[in-house]
Amino acid sequence: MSGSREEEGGVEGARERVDWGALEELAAALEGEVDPDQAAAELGVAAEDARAIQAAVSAFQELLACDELPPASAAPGEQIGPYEVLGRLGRGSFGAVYRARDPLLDVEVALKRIEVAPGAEREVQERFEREARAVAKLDHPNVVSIRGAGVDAAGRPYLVLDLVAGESLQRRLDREGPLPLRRAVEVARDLARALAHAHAQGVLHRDVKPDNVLLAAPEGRPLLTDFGLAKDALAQGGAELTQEGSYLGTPGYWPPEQARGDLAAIGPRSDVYGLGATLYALLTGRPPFVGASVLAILEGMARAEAIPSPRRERPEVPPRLEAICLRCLEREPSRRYPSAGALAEDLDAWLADPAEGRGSGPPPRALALLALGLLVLLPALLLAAGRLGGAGAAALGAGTPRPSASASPSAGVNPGAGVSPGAGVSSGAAGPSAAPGPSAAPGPSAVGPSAAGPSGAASPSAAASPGPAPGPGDSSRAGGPGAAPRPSGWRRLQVEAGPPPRAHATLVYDPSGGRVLLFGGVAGKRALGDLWSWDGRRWRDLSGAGAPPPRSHAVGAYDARRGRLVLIGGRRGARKRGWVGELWEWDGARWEQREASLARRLARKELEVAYDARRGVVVLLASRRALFEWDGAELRAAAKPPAGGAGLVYQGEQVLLFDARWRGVWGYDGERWSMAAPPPPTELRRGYATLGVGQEGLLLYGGEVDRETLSGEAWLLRGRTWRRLEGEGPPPRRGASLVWDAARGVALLFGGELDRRQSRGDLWELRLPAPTRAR
Amino acid sequence: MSEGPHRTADLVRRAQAGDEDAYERLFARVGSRLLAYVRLQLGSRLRERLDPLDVVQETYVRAHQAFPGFEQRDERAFGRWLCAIADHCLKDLAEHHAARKRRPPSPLVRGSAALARLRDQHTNPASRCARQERAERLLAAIGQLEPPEREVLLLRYFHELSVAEVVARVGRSRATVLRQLGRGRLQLGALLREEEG
Repeated sequence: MSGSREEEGGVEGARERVDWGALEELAAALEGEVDPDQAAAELGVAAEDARAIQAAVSAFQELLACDELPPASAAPGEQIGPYEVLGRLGRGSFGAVYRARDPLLDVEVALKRIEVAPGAEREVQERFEREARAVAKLDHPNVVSIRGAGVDAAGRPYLVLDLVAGESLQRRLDREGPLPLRRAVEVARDLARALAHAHAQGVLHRDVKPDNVLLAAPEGRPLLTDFGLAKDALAQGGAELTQEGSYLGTPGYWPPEQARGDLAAIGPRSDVYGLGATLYALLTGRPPFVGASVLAILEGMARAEAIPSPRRERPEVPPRLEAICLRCLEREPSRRYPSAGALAEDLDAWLADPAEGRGSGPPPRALALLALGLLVLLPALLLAAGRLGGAGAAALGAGTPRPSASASPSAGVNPGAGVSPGAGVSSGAAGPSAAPGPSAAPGPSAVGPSAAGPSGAASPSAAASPGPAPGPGDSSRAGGPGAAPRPSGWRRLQVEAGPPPRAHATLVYDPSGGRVLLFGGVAGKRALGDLWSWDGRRWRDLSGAGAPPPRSHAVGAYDARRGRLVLIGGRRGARKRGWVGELWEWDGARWEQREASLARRLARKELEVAYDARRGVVVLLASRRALFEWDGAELRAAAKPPAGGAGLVYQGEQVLLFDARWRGVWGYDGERWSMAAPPPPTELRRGYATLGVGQEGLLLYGGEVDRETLSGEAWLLRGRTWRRLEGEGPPPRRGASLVWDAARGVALLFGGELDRRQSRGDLWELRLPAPTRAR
Repeated sequence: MSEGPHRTADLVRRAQAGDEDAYERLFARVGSRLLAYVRLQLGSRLRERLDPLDVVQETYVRAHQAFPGFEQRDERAFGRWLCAIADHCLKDLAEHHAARKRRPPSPLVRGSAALARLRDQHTNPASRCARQERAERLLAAIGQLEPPEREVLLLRYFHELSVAEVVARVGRSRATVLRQLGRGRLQLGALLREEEG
């Protein structure tokens, strides 16, 4: 090329009289439809120059020409797989939704085709199929059912869904604004039940919002749709994300952990947030966070801007309902409802008694202000335990009764004559003023402000009316006898079949499946290596090929960041003396032994383990004096712990250790250890202990072995105050396993041994008294 | 090009009114030109360390975030706006690229179908078409221009500025700008024809 200055100068010299303005005009003209030669002649530009200019301009034009996407929409009459498109229903986050006909069955279906970027078809298909299979397991009256799935000729996957006649909840909101209070709560309650069902199957929704809820005509039964479709887009991150078609989220409904891209923190409670945000929108007409732009919304969330009180937006929202809503919207997932089921129960309780007679605590936000570091300083309210029924966890949201309320235990515990079955479910819901009387029973969606007014002069009609046009799912609602209120305290669960008796099993809560896992242990001299899961009703034997060999004292934790059960160490059976240092991981389907080189470091006599959710590492205490951290790839030594740890658990953003000499509770924040709480005021000075967490409290089961006799005590630490959990409880045992079952809001205790020969195999459930709300 | 700006402007209006389909199309339309622009601006030194597609993605992320507040003053405003965002991204990334690794994935990458296609075209020679080959030649040719000519041409074509706007932007006389534009085009034309011929 004419790269050198000289040459250029020569060119320029030869063009002394070039009219640059004319060239510019020519260049502009050539962008349009003109005859180049004619234009050049008119502007007096030399033919040679004109041709060069034209070459440059057309090259630019081609470069700048806009790309067009192929039409994403299928036209009526077009085939997608065997289905004939009848029309377009709308556009969802992942593609268009069509009304289509199934030619075989001659029925109309909804067909959702996923848009796939060229080149990414196979990858998307594989993931899509996996997801579709998971969602296909869902069977719930408030979930849009999948009828089938397939891939069209162009490689785009599609889902075939039940065609729901009706409109989306968002459309309804756009059209008519906020819903009547009662209707809003019923919709949220139904959706909570749907989510609870999905979570129990291990399926997260991840994008709960009014857009993804259909109201089926004519009665307006809410149906959740687009289940789990957001999952891959979110979970895969990076390159996969960009190849995934578009992820069009609605940040106004996103939980903070999702908004900041903390994918590891996304779990069932993220859906609880989405549902809370949806309830918020149903009550006020808009999501909790709104902003001029996505960025503004995310910034608002990042700055922890307070969510405007729903009552400020709509004064007739009763405080208790507001408290339920705001609890879902807590920034910190652990402060939200532990499960969608717990939320459903609270909403049911509100529906049963929307009155605001008494007992409404301050909203959870106030509670959060009281948090001192890890534990909430609260006067325990154990004596009121008798009347604190229901799902312990559910009681949290719906203002718990003040002590005085416990004077009328019957109100809460016995479903009174006029109380609908659902009423009994809630702990805090029923109070003196709630005694339902006859009423005009207004229609479900016709609740006037008076019915829910804060005056407390409640017309409890709501309690008497069973709810709106019961859908098929109603029988499964909390109205059944199973939902009768249960007091706090211990209860032995009668289980038909389950794991055989043992001590030292490891019990681990698996948040992704909302279940409790049990592995190994020892029965007499026999070490065990079986794996079981507990879903709140029955045990399932998950033992399978490839499992780790039996071991008696293995410890486990669930790494929520990586979605794996991590199993470490443990002594083999009596014959094979010695300590096993293996590290195994289970991803829900397969076992995998990690780094054999760790074996020596982990072959310790006593191990305690906890998953530090804040830092996403498994923290391991070995032989009571060495601390390690496992991040899924590497095992690192960590800060030296206080001597003699007997139990390890994660709570309130730190790992807590209970000192085997019963001197107190220590907290580890990832850097150093510090004293978190004094020991319980017990006679015991030394003994075994197992730790668990529950509802803003630290749970301790432990005792002493005094030659022949064994003692066992259960303690609850809230704030810095220990309370002994009195009452009929499990007989003393050593080596029992304790775990907090977050999905059901109860602690579980399994097994243990009476003496060297005799192991226990009973399962106990502990409902904790709800914390009070100190003002 | 006569119809292009009009259609882009129309898509902007529809996208701002909430039409997701228009939104997706809008960002798909401008993908390859944005990539070309970024590649031209990156310079050889930075190009080794920064993937132009990452810059495009970053530009998209920022553009998506700012889009609701974008004001369409005229039909060419969108292209200009996007180039300005890309300039900011380039500046930020050039300053920070030593300190940062790859940007963490943002859940906000909309328009990602377009990005995926771009990435595919950019990285997979088999999927390149003749048009892209020609585009490559133009980019190479622009890279050979003297910086002043290159600058005014980018402003004129990618930022879609008028001559008067270019004059205001670069702070040179109108005559100089006209000469640089004209000379740049002539050189490009010569280079391109040379290769073809």
